Amino acid sequence: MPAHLTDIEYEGPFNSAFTEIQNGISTCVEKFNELVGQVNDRRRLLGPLLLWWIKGKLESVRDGLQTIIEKVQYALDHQVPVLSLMRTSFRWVTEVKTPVSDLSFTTTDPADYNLAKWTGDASSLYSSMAGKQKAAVDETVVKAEFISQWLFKMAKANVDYAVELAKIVTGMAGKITQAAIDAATVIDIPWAIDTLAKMIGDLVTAGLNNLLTIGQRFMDALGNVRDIATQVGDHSKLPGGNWPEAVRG
Amino acid sequence: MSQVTVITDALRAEGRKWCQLSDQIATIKTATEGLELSTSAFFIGDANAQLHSGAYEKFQLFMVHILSGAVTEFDQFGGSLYKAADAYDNADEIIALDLNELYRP
Repeated sequence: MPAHLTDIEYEGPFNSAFTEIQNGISTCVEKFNELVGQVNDRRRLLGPLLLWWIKGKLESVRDGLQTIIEKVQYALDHQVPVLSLMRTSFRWVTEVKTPVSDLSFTTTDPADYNLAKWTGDASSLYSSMAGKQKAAVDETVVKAEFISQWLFKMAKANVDYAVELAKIVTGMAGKITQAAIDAATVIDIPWAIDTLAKMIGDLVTAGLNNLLTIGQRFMDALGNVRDIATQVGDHSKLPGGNWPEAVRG
Repeated sequence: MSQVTVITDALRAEGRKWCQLSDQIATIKTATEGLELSTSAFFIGDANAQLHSGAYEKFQLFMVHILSGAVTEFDQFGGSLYKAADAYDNADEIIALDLNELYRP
């Protein structure tokens, strides 16, 4: 079982991926506009036919960019809520699992050792019921640990998704920046834009595939278990999904 | 100190222990109530998170439910020990108790 990462350790790579994404998108948009400007400045030199061809290529670049921007927008809208998932994963350990497990020992440890002098049927029934209470406490610890790990798996898928998205955006920003440099002369414009269109196409296709794989991993984390509460751990320690009754009534 | 007093003191100490455990687990129960997550908190990608969200909510409510049970049971369990101590004190000996009566709130 992996060691528990703290919420800070989750959040660090997640948030820095988002910073990269935002910077990358700004660069993409800025450099793409610069490239369009370069083409426009030389439109008369390029001539109508070449210009028409270039326009088609630029449109495919813009479409690729648009596809990724939509993913980015969706991700940005969910960034803060997903941070709460990461923190909640951690809180199940610090606020539930650890404090509950701290109670376990006390349940069967007598407050006063003279309790051992208490014998007979009332006393043995007490010991048996105290044992059941302890088992329920320990089962609660198992369940809190489970849900924390369950959320952790999702947190991990989110970090992977953000990192992959950052990789796509940074890759696109690099290619568009390079194209803007390469398109400095009228001679090089068609070649630079043709190369860019191919590269962006490849980046988007591969990137979307990777995002889809991560999305699948997120879906798989659910498993086919819809009612996780009753299917995790030893439910006999929580009979009928309830805390065991020490006192009937 | 008579044997009865030794035992009833120990029983009251044990009863107090369970009441304190009840208070401690009540704090944890309150913390668990605060562990809600909105559907949008599950994934930054455009995948359907309804099932995840529903399964989580059910789990969280289940945990609140069992912890609430623990708060009640611990408290009543402690009360039964006080009840036994009182019965022994009144009789001035360790008498046979009606167990159904003892372990009842």
